[in-house]
Amino acid sequence: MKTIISMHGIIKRFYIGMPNELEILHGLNFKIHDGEFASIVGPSGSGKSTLMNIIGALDRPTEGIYMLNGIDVAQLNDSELSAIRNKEIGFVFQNFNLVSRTNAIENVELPMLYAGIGRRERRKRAEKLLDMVEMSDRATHNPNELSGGQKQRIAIARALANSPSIILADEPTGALDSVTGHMVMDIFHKLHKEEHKTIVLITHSKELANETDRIITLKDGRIVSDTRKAGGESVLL
Amino acid sequence: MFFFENIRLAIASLKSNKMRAILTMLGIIIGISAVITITTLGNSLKKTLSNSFNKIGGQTFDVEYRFKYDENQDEDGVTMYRPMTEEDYISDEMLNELEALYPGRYLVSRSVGLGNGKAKNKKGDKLNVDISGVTEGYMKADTLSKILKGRTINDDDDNGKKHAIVVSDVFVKQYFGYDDANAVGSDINIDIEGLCDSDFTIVGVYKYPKIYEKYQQSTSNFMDRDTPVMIPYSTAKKIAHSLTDDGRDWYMTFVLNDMSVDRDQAISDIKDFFSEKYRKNKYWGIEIYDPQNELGIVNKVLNIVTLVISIIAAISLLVGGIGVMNIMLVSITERTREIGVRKALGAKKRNIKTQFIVEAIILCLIGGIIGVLLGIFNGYLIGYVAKYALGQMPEYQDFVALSVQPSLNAILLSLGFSMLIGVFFGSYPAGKAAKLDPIEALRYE
Repeated sequence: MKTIISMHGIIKRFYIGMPNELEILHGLNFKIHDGEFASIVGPSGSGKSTLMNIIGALDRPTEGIYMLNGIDVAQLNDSELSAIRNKEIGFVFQNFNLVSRTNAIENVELPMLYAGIGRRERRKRAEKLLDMVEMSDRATHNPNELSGGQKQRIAIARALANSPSIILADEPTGALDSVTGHMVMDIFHKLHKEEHKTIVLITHSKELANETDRIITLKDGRIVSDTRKAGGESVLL
Repeated sequence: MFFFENIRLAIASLKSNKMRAILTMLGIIIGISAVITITTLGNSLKKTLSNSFNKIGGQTFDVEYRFKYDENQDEDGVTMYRPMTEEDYISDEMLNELEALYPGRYLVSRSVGLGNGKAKNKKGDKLNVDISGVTEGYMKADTLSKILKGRTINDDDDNGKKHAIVVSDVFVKQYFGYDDANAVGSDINIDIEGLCDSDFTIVGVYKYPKIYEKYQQSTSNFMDRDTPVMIPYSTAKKIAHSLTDDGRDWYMTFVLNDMSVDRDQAISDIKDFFSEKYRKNKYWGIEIYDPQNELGIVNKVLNIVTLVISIIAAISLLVGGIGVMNIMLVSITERTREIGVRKALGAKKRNIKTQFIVEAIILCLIGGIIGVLLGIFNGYLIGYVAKYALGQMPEYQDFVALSVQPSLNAILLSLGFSMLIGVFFGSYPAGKAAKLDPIEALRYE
């Protein structure tokens, strides 16, 4: 099975060389394969966010090798990181992060705009994606005219725009009530089952994590458990 | 590809903060409109003056006599002045020679007054006329009197000493009793006491200038008014052969007949010609006076005024530019999160930088366009007031050719400059936006 994410000895330190130097991640090793729906769980302060930033190519590890779809992310410069984020990663944020004053379909087009895709093709694909999340009738609405659940569905459509290797969802239901939260989770399940998308869900909620195939538990910057549901295989570290 | 997207984004962003955008633009609007107003006025004034000058003086140069002071001083520096004598004046031979040297290019304005005469019509009215013998050059130089029908006296009439006559529209009404369209071609009898009593054929009718009327209307009734009539110079000379003194002018006027000739070229041609003629004359020489030189002084003053206003406008633009920079910094702080999102979605540094520079340029350009429109509006408003004022003084309408003309160079320059302000004052905030760390930007509340 093809490996999408391969982390080896990932260490992240902040304030390097200063008296308050801080090591957040203490050498993580794990792999995520194509088509997996994995969740990374852990209490606040466990290093979840730092790990998410590294997975999302927003940040580079201090030490260790991170291969994303065969690319050594640690070696990339700023502009190349932008390109990686653009093509390989689809972000879904807790607070949606739609660009204001820009309507739904234009938000979905944004990653394609930065990828240099022509206007007509952008529009065509964005329409298809909106249709998939059942938001076609809200295409020309601005974010402030949409409910939380609607915004998150637009954000998911946007994350899929450039057919990324992984969808990186950071507490995607955190700002939603339980009903709309379930609706959003249903979309992820659908993407996983029908489109075989690789999805990494970052959450502090055990309940949400239990919906996924694999749970990676972080604590104090270390992986304390990595459980796969499908095979019934459970590896405790 | 990003170009139109960026413009659309910039306009959307400005629209969402209309009041702020307008206040920010104000400095630029004031600066640019001041520049455009003053350049429009300056340009229009120059144009109006030069048009008016051409209307009055035409393309003419006056030649005047000048005593050679430098060559007529004794050892003690006392000038030995000698009044002009017959041989110091420009002779008819010289003028003929000049006209022959440059055929069709320069005409000499020559005239001889024959004094008052009477024109008798069929009803028996005896109309007073003021008769002059003139050359084609004289008629060309007098641009105030526009030919309504027919033509001017020309060289043909002059060479053939023909009995041709050009009369005023006032005369036509007096003589025929109505505005006769067929006046041209009619023969009229002119009687000058003791000199001649013969028929002249009307070859042209000119419009009697309103400014002359002003001085006549109050003093005489319509039939008593005498207006100048013109006959060929040589014909008049022949009639006046018995007159001993035909009056010497201190000025001799030359007319540029061929408009394709450069004015400076004409002045130098005429100067060279007479310098040669007066080289041997110990006492007197000639000097060329170009009436349009007077415009040079006006232009100089205008240029200084324009410069001063431009400096004030530049300060206003500088302040406006700083305002733009300030508002861009505020806007970027407000949109930190948006910048973070864009970066997370794959925007590169230069994408972000371009987006904000374009926004600053659009902001300044809109300010510039409003400023230009306001400036042109001011120019036309002042022009309208001036036109109204001129309308109150109809007698000057023949002189003043009012023209409001915004300076295209100034407009293009202003728009270009306002875009430059956008680039200059937008670069720093845009650079700051581009450098934002996506993680921190995304976390920004």
